[in-house]
Order: sequence, then C-alpha cells, then structure tokens
Amino acid sequence: MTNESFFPFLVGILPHLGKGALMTIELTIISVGIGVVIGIFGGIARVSRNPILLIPSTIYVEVIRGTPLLAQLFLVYFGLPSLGINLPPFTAAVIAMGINSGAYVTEIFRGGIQSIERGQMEAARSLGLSYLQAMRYIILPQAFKRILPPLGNEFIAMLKDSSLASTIAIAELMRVGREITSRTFRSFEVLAVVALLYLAITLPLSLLVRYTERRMSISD
Amino acid sequence: MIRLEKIYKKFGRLEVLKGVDLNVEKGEVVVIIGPSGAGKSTLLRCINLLERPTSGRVIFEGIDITGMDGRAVDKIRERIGMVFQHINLFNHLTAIDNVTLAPMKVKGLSKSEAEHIARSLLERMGLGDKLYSYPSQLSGGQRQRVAIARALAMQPDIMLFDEPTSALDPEMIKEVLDVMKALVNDGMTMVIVTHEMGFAKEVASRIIFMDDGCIIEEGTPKEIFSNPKEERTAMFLSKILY
Repeated sequence: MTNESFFPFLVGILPHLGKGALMTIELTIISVGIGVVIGIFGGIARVSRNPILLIPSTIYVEVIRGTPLLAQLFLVYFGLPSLGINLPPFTAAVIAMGINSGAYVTEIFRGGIQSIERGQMEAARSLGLSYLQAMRYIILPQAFKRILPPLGNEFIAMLKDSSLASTIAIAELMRVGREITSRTFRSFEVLAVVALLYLAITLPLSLLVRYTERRMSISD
Repeated sequence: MIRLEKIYKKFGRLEVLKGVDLNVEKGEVVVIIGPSGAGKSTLLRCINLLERPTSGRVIFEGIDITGMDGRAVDKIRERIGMVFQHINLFNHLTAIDNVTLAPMKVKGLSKSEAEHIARSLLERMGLGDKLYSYPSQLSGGQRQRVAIARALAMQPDIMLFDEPTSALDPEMIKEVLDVMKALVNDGMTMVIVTHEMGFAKEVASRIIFMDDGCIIEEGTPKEIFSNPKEERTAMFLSKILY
C-alpha cells in the first residue's frame, strides 16, 4: 500500500478525509452559531453603561481573547472531569469553541452597534420605544448588515482553529489526516491534501466575504 | 403644558444651560433663536429628557418628570414628538414602515390601523407616491417630511423641532416649512429651534432669544424683531438679518 502511486492512493483516502471535512464544518457551524447567540447579548452588554452588564462582558472578552483556544479546550475536556463534570469530546469541543467564538463575535457586534449613528437610537427613544426595543427593531437590524463580513471572517478563523479539536479525539479533518499518516507513513502527501481541503472550504468563503464587503461599500 | 424650572446642564466642565425657565402653553408656537452654542438644542432635548438636566425640573402637564426613568419616561415621550436636524430616519425601513413602527410597537396598534394612519399622514405631507421608498431613495426635504409624519403618527400633544431645515439644501427648505406651517394652522403646540427668521416671524406666538446658556429676552415676533430691548438680541439680529 505504501508504494501505491499518488492518485490511486488519493482516491482511496479521500472518502475518509471528506468525512473529516464534514465533521470540521459541523463543528464550526455549531460553534460559531453558539458564538453568535452569545455575541448578540455580549455586544449589547459591551455597549451598555450599566456596570453589571459592562464589567462581566469585558472580563469575558479579555480572558477568552487573551488565552489560547487549546488551553480552553483542554480545560473543558480534561479539566472539568476533576470537578465531576464529564463531557463527551464533541460536546466539550463545541462548548469550548462556542464560548471562544462568542468573545470574538461579541466584539464584532459591539463594533457593529457602535457604527450605527447615535441619532438612530435617539429618534427611536423620542418615539417612546424602550432601549431594548430600539436595539431590536432599529439598531441590530442595521448593525447585522454591517457585521456580515467580519462574521464571515470569524467563521473562517474558527474553521481553521477547529483543527485543535483533533487533540481531544474528534474525527475532524486534521485528526483523520493524522490517522491516515500513522497508518501509511505518507505524511507529506496526506497533510498537503488536508491543507488543500481546508483551503478548498475557506477560499470560496473569503471570496464571498470580499464580495459582500464590496457590495456594501457601494450601497452605503 | 410644559414648564422648565431652573434648568442647568453641564457636559463635563462646560456649562451649556445656566438656569433656564421656560413655560409652553397648549396651542403655543414657541420659536427659540440665538447664536450657535447658545444651548438652544440642549434645552429642547431636555424637554423630552433625551438630555438629562444636571439640575432643575421638567414638568409635563403638571407632573414632574425630571427623575423618571424606564417605562415612565417612554410613556411621556410617546406624547412628545421630535424632529431632528439630522433627520434620523430609520435607514433600513421604507417611508411607511418608518411611520408605522412606533404606533405598532409602542401603542400596540395593528398593522392595518397603523398603515391607515401612516398613509394619510404621508399623503398630507405630499408623499403619497413615496410610501415604499427607502430613505436613501428620498431627497433631504422628503426625508424630513417623512420624519415629521413619523413623529405625528404617535399623535403627540406637542412637537419639538431641532433645526429641522439646517441640514437641507436651500431649495428644500420651503417644502418642510410649509408642512410645519400647516401644523401651526392645525393648532399643534410646537417648540422650534431654527435659524429661519422669516418663518419665525410668521408663525411664532412667542420668540425666545438665547445666548450663552441663558434666555436673554422673549416676546412676540414684533417685539423681538422690531424693538429688541436687550443689546445682545439687537446685535444678533443685526448680524443675521439683511
């Protein structure tokens, strides 16, 4: 098998790598999905003048962004069991990655909310809308449009970072690649294909991000 | 209807309002004039508490609203319409949606009720053919008229205008002033900050001249424009009237 020429070899391993890639995508979608939910509330908290919202959300963002995702992942998967909380690898991964993504998405939402002119909030409040109603009906819909490109970038970043989940026995793209490597010893070829598969997912995405960015700069 | 008592407002160390008293009766049209930086807009924004006075009292229909917050202030703001210099239409909504949003979300009107009101208001503003246009598709004058309709849709007891024509191209000023004049004729209570002296002369029941955070002088248009008592008023008018 090790002497097999490249293309038949590639055809043999592609279905496995494909499955890994699907797992990578699934992991990323769920994590960024959690991140967006956290980010909406986090972003609102970060622009609040109420210290009960502002201080915890600021600490959250700084702690998460200032520590490595790998450490966060290990803390959830290997650390929590010593507190009696045992999580299956996939659950541990989406929790750690979701919380991690939430910090970045929080900052994306904060920036988006702050980019909306102050007059929009004032006009809404002058009509009798509450602060939260103004956020929901006026500020967030406008902010959401503006944050689509950075949100796309966050998705791309998280997709690559999800390779860290290979360290806790999740059969995503990186892990599958390493397993094939250890079976076949054809490290360079396999890892190059793995890298290309990541690129095959991220490249169309980043082109899409650039396209929406350009379209938005025209319409604004 | 509205009484301001000894309103002070500081932004950091800058004192913008220095003890202003103001009374607005129902049906009055009060026009505030004065040089920029006099505190006119800040005073106007204290009426609906968009700006919180550092000290002093804001009394609306006999109730002290100065210390109110949350839902109570929202309730008061429903009854005070405001039109802004920078218009501030909701950019992601069509003209009609701009007008129906607050009646639906704040007053709980049904979509069809709200649209009925919005349609007739926008038609009155001469915008019957622009119901489904987005703000970016409208001229400045059209946008400001939508903004006036948006405020009127809440059926306010009083309307505040903060330099409503200052950001408009000259040829669009008249269409906005005409709409405001129609409101005056309907008997709406209004407080207007403006630099349009001809308009002030024509519609005001009372003119207030402000400078340096204080009310310097007030009176009928005739008193202020033809026979100002204070030197500062005379000087201001001599600078801006040709």
